[in-house]
Amino acid sequence: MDATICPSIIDRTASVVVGQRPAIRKALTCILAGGHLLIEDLPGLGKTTLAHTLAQVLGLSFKRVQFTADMLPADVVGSSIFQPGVAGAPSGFRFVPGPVFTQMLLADEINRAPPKVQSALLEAMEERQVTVDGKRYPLPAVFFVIATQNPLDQAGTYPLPESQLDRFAMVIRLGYPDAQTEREMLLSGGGRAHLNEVEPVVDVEGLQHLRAQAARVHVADRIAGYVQSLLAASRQAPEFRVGLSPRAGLTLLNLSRAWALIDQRDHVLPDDVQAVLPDLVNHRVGLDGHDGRDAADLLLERVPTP
Amino acid sequence: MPAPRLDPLLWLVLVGSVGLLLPHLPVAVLPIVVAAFVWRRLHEVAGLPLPPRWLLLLLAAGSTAVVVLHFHALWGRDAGVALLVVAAGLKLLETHEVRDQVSVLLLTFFLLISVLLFDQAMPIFALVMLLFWLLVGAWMGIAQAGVSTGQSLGQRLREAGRLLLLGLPFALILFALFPRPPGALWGVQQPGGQAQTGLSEQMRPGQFDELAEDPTPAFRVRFEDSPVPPRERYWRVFVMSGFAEDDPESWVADPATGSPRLETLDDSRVAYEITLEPTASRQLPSLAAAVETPRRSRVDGNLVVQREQAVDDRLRYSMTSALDYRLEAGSLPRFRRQQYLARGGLNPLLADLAAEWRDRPPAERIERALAYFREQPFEYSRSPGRRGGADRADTFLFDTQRGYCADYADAFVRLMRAADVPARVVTGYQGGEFNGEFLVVRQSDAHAWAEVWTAADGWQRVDPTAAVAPERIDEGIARSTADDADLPATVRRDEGSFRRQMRLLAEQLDNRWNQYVLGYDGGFQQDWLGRIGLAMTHPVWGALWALAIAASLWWGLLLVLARRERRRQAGSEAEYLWTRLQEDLARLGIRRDTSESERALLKRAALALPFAADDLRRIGQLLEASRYARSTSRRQARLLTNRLANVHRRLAWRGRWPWRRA
Repeated sequence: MDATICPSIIDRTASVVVGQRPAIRKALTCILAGGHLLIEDLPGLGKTTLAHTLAQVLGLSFKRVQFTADMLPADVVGSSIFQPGVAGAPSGFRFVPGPVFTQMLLADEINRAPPKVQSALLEAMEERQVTVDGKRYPLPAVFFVIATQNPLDQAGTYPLPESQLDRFAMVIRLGYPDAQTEREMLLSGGGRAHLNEVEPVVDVEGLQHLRAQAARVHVADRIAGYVQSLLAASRQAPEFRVGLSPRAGLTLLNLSRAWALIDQRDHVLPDDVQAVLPDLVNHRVGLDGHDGRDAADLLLERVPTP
Repeated sequence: MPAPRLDPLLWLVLVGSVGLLLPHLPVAVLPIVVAAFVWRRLHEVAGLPLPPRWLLLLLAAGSTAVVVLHFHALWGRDAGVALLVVAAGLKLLETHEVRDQVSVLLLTFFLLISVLLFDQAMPIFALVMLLFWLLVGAWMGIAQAGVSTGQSLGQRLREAGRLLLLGLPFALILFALFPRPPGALWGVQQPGGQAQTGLSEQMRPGQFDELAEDPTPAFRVRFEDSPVPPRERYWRVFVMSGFAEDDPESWVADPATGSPRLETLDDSRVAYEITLEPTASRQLPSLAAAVETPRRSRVDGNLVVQREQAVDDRLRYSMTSALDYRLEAGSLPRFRRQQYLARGGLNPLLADLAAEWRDRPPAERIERALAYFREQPFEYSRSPGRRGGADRADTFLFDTQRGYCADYADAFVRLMRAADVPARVVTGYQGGEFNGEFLVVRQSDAHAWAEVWTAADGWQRVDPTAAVAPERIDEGIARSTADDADLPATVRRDEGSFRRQMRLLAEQLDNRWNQYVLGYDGGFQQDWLGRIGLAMTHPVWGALWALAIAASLWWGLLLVLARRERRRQAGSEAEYLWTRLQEDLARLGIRRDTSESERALLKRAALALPFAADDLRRIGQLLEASRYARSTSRRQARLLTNRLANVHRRLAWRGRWPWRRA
C-alpha cells in the first residue's frame, strides 16, 4: 500500500460528495495525521455525507451522534448496566459501549451538548480510550472524529472554548458548492443516493499503513525552523488573543507530513506547511478576521519562507 | 578599588617595545619607567593605590627635565622617543577605566614604530611586526572590553592576524608605489658619530691591524656584467700624499681637487652597483678610474669619488669605471711634483738605499724597490708586533721586516720618494668575497697600496704587499692568514665550517633585505617604475596613482573575500547561487514575498522569463530536493549548481540598465 492510493480515495469520495474536493483532502489529511476534524458550517452542506462517504471509502465502521442539550456523558461513552443472572450466569454489571466505540464518529452539533458531555468526548478523542467506573476500555486503533458546529444558531448552546478547540487538528468550513456543481447535484438528486454503492478503496490495515508512512515523511531542519518561527510569531502577534501551543506546532508538522504524502512526496515543503496552516491556526488564536486577512495570512506575511 | 587589569597582550608589547628601545634611552629615564611599570603591576595585583595627581605631574616634569638635560633638546629622534617612553609609563599610572587603555595602546603603537627609527635590520623588523600583531590583538581585547561575548586570546590573535593579512596587500602596494623623497627611506637625521668604524682620513701603519679583525661588511657590490678579476679589485677611497702636521709618520688624505686629467680605454669599462654602509665621510669606494658617478658626486683629480654629503645612511649607487686608464701622463706641474716627493721623517737607511737607484730610469727604480721586498726575508703579518717610533720605515725595512699592508705601502712610497719618483699612498679595500651574486667587502678587506708617477704612464698602481704575499691579492686576507686562529670565523676561510655557512646564509638574507627593502629609495623606485613603464612625472601624481592602484586592488580583494564570506554563510554553493538568483529576479521585478515558497516564486519567474522557464522549473525541483529531502545525490547537487550558475549568467546583466530590460 503506498501513497498513490490517496488520489483514488479522494476521487471516490468526491464522486459522492460533489464539489467538496478541498474539504475531502483536508479530512483525509486529518485522518492520516491522526488528528480530528471540526466542521463549522450551516446544516445541509454535506457534512454528514462527507463523513459517511469517507468512512465507507476507507472501510471504517461509522457511527453518528446527534448532540442535544439533555445529553449525559454516558450517552456518548457508554455505561455499565446491571444484568440479572440468567441461566446460571452470575448477575452483575455489564458495560454497554456507547457510540464512541467506532472507527469514524460523526459528532453532530457538538456545541448543543452540555460541557460535561463535550469533555467526555474530547477526552476520548485525546486519550483514545474510555474510562467507566474505574475501568478502561480502549477505542479502536483507528479512531477519527468529525464534529460539526453550527456557527449561527447560538441560542442555548455551549460553544467550545479555544482550549477545547485545540484538540481538533483542523477546523474547516465547507461552503456552498459552485453553480455548476450545484446544478449537477440538483439534477442527480445529490450524491447521497449513491452512498450505499460506494466500494471501499482501502481497508483498516491499509489505512494504518498509510498513517505509518505519513509519520515517516522527512522534515528538514529548515522546515522545523520555519514551523518554530511561525509558532514564535503567533505568540508575538498583538492581534492574537493567544499564541499557538507546542501541541499545535506538533500537529502542524504532522498535518504537513500527511499533506505531503497525499502529494506522494517523502519530504515536507514549505508549501505543505502553508497549505495546512490556515485551518490549523485560525480557531486557535482567537482571531476571525483582521483587515480582511485571517490569522494565517498575518503569520505568513511576518515569517519569511526559508 | 583597583582599576581593571591592563590587557595582557598590551603589557607584553609595552614591555617588549620599551625593552627594544632600552639601549637608546638615557639611563636616568630607566628608573622612572621601571618604577611606573612596577607600580601599575602592584596596583593590579595587590591593590596598591595609584599615585595622586600631584606626584604624577611632578614625575612628568622631572623626567622631561632629565630628557632635556641629557639631550639638550626636546626635539629630534632620541629625545622624542625618550619622552614617549616616559609618557607611556606615566600614562599607566593614571589609567583607571578600560577605555583609558586606548591611550596606552596608541602610545605603544608609537613606541613600537619608533624602534624602527633606530634599527631596521631584518630580525628587528620581524620582531616589531610580531609585536605589532600582538598589539592589534590587544586592541581587539580593549575594544571588546565589557562585551559579554569577548573573544579568547587565541581567537583575538587569529582575528588580528586576519586583519593584518587583509591590510598587507595595501601596505605592499603603497610601499612599492608611493613616491619617496630622494635619499634614505627613514629620513631621520642620524648623528654622525654613529657611523661605522672603518677607514679614516689618516693612515698610520698599525692602524689597519684593528680593521683586519672586523668582519662587518663595508659595502656590497653587484657587477652589471661579469665581475672583475681579483687582481683588479682595488676599491679606492682615500689618496694620501702629505703627512700630519704633528706626526710625520701619519699620512693624511688629500683634499678634493679639480677634475682628473684622464685617458681611458672604453672597452675596459665595468658597471657595478654598490650598497655602502654608513661611513660618515664623503668618499665613495670605486674601482680604478670612475668615469660615471652617481648623482651628487664627482670624481676629483685623484680619481676619488667625492659626494656632496657625508654618507650617514646606507647608500646604494651605481658607477662605471675604466680599468685601463692613464692619469696625468706626460707631465706633472712642478708644485705637485714637489708635493709627491716630500719626505716625512729622516729614515737615513732608507735614504741611502734609495740613493743607489737614483741614476737609473724611473721604471727600474720601481722594479728595484719591489725586488728588494721580494728578495729580503719580508713577512706579511696581520700583527707584526713592535714598530719603531721615529724612523719607523727604517726599522721596518732593515730590522723587523714584518708588517701589514700599511707598513709596506708606507715604506714603498717613502723609498720611491727618496729615489726621486713621485709617489703617494692609496687606501681603500682590496678583494671581497662572493656571496650569491654579491661581492661582500668587509672592513677586514681594508688595504693600503701605493701609486707612483712616471711620465710615460702617469699614475700607476703598485702594490708592494703583492710582492711579499701575492696570495693576499689573489685570494684575500683570509687565505693568506688562514692559520691565524684569532681571526673571526667570517674572515677565516675554512669552507667546511657549519657556522660559517649559516653566517653566510644570514648575510645573504640580510643583504637582500638591505638591497631591496631598506635600499628601496626614491632613486631605486624611479628606476624600477620606469622599467615597468610606470615612470612618475610628479610625486603628487605618483601618490594619487599609488593610492588608486592600491585602493582598486584592495577593493577587488575585499569583493572576493565578501563573496567567500557570503558563500560561507549560505552554507553551500547552491544556497549561495540561489541567493544570487533571487537577487537577479528581484532586480527584474520578480520580488519574493515573505510568504512565497521557492516553488511559487520560480513558477512566477518561469512565466515572466519564458526563455529561462525550463531551467527555472528544473531548478525548482532540484532546489526543493536539495533543501528538504532526506538526502540528495552528489550528481543532483552538481546539476543544481550548474543550472543556477547558468541562469545567473543569463540574468546577471539584465535589468542593470534601464535600456536593457528583460
